Order: sequence, then C-alpha cells, then structure tokens
Amino acid sequence: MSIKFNYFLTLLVAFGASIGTLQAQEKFEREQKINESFAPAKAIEFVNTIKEKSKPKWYKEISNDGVSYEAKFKVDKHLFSVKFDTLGHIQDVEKKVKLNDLDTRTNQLLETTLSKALGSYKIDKIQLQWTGASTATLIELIEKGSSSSAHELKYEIEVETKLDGAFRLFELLINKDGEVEKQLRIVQREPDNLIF
Amino acid sequence: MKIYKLLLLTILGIFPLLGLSQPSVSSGVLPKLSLSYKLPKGFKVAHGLESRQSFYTKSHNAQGVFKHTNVLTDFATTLTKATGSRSSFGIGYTLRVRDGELYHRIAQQFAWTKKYETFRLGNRIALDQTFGPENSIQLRARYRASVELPLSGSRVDPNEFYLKLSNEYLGITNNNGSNDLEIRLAPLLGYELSSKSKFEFGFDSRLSKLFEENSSLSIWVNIGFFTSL
Repeated sequence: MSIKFNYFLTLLVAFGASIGTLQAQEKFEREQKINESFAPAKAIEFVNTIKEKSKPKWYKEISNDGVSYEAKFKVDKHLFSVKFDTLGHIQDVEKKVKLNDLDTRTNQLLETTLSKALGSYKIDKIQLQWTGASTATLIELIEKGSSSSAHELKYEIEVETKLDGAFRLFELLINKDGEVEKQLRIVQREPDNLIF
Repeated sequence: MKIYKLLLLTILGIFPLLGLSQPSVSSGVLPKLSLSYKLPKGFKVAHGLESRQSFYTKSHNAQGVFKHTNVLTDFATTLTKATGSRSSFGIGYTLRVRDGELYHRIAQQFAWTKKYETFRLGNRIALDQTFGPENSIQLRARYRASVELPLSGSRVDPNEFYLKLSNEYLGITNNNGSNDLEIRLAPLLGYELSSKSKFEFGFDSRLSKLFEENSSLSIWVNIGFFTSL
C-alpha cells in the first residue's frame, strides 16, 4: 500500500467520521432556574437596559457548548432569550418567531435548505439568532426588530423528520446564505407518564 | 396555554365534587408500574401492572368501614405506532382480575403531546371495550389532559421534580342499559430519576354515577413508576 493511498484512506475515514458525528450528535442541554443574583453582573446590566420587557427569568445552562447563563423575557409578545458566558459576555440573542413572520425570500431559503438536508420535514420552532454585533445594536434589534448596524443573522430551527421509519427531531443552525452550520438530534423525554 | 386555562381545567374537575352530599366513598392505594421499549419503524410496546388496594369504604348514608380489600389487579399491554414525533396511535389489551373473576379489555387510543416554553401538555383520546363474566360488556370513551410543570428550569431534567395534573372524562355504557359519566382528577408530584425513569406520587380522585343520587367518590394514593428500556 503506497503512502499516498494510506494518506487518502486516513482522510477518507476522518471525513466519514466527521460526517457521522455531525449526523448523530445529540443535543445535550441541562437547564436550571436561578435567582437573578446568581447571574453574572454584566449580563444583568445588559438585560436591565432593555426597555418595555417582561420580568426576565434567569437560567444556568450546561449544553454541548459548555456552561452559560440565559435570560428569557418577552418584548412586544415575542419571546427572547439572551445567552451569556460565565463572565457575562453575550454569546447570542434569540427571538422566537413564526414562519409567517419571515419574508418570502427567507421562507424559500429555509425551505430549500431543509429539503436538501432532511427531505420531508415539519417545522416545530423557529428562532432568529443574532450575533457579531455591538451591545447597542443587539438592544436595537431586541427593541425594534431590525438594525442597519453590523450584525450576523442566523436561523435556529427545530424540525421533525422521518428517519428509518421513525420520527426524529433535529435542531439546525442555518446562516443567511442557507448553509447548515450545525445539526443536532434532539432526544425527547419519554412521554409514557402522559400517554399510558 | 395560559396558566388561567389550567386553573379553569382544575376547577372544572373539582367543581362536581363540591356538590356532593352523601356519596359512597372508597379510598386506598393505587400502585402502578410501567415498562416500555421501542421497536423499529416507530413502534413501541408498553406493559403496565396496576393494582387497587382499598382501605376505607363508606356506602351511601352509612358509616365508613376501615378494612383492607384487594379490589383488582390489571395487567396491560399497549402497542403504539408513532404518527409524528409527538403523537401516536395505540391498541391495547388489559387482563383484569377482580374478585377472582377475569375481565378482558381491548382499547384503542390516540395520544399527542405538545411542548410549551415552560410545560408539557399530554392529550389522550381512547375507546375501550370490557368483556366480563356473565356476558357483561362495558364500552367507554375517554379523554385525558395532563400537564407537566417542571419545578426547576423550563423543562424536566434528570434528578429534578415536576408537578403533574391530570383531568380525565369518561363516558360509560353497559349492556344492561346503565350509563355513567366519570370524572378523574389527579395532582401528582413527579421525580425524574433518569432520562429513562420517573417516579410519581399523589392523589387520584374519581367521581362516578354523576347522574344518580348515590354518587360514588373514590380517592386513591397514586404511586407510579415509569421506565423505558
């Protein structure tokens, strides 16, 4: 076996393993409700600057991405969640929306991406995700829904699809160009105590 | 769903109890075990073992009696097929042993759950047919709504407590011509032992013979253990 072939084989195995990992990776998220006083001071300061919001609920979260703090509140009937690292730096801002809230171009973009990634699917939840922006821009996005200042918009979508004859739930992170940046399988809690 | 709707659901379930004057009452323990496992193509099997142990009975306008009675034991098996990630259709068979006699129950159910931001709502619509001694046949149509509220965070994680409130309505008809409406209300405290197992403890109150003078109220201490392989 030549060195070149070995190198090619290694690359192929690594590529295959990475695809396998992407497809099979399960979403892990554990959330605990906390008192505001246990959240990072910088995070509390940010949330307090947002006007006309409902009383925020604070959570400490351990997920695939590590430990974070999350504030959930409503502005103009829309549910927002702002994720912070342990020092209170903003990781992302998410706004729950309905498919009808999105413009036609975005609808088509998401439809094309999801069809390509999953075949047939049913959207369960959509969140706009904002990152890469200044604090002032993020506040503007939360309060007004849009901003002309620099920011990155992605879509975090929970979808139901059929895989090997069984229904599965996935969470996909799709960027504004329609590329899937992250795909996690959501493991649902057994509903036995609710249905039997 | 707003919290006031849940409260309304609860009140609607409790309200008939308040109007009772002298119902017959029975009380005891209702232990339940449930084991389920998944099969390919979205199929799932659930086995259930449920027993009803009475410790107190009081007939209409009579003194109550404290006495242990093994009322019945149910052995149930249900096969479900997922019709979505949160819905399923199922058929089941239950063998009931009561007073040394056997009852055979077949059931059909459609169940679906919905995840809200801070709670989970389970719905179940079911029909069942019970064939007992002396050619007795009982038909029931039932609907149950169950709300599961996490006590820490916005969803239930392992080693966390939750509250569960179930409200069920049953329309019952027997081949001897009698009909009945039964209402059940069960507030329970649950504990998620792991992602596969949970334990529930609470009360299960059942009000039946609503259209008769001699209404019947039974209040059970419900102890449930659910596990899946």
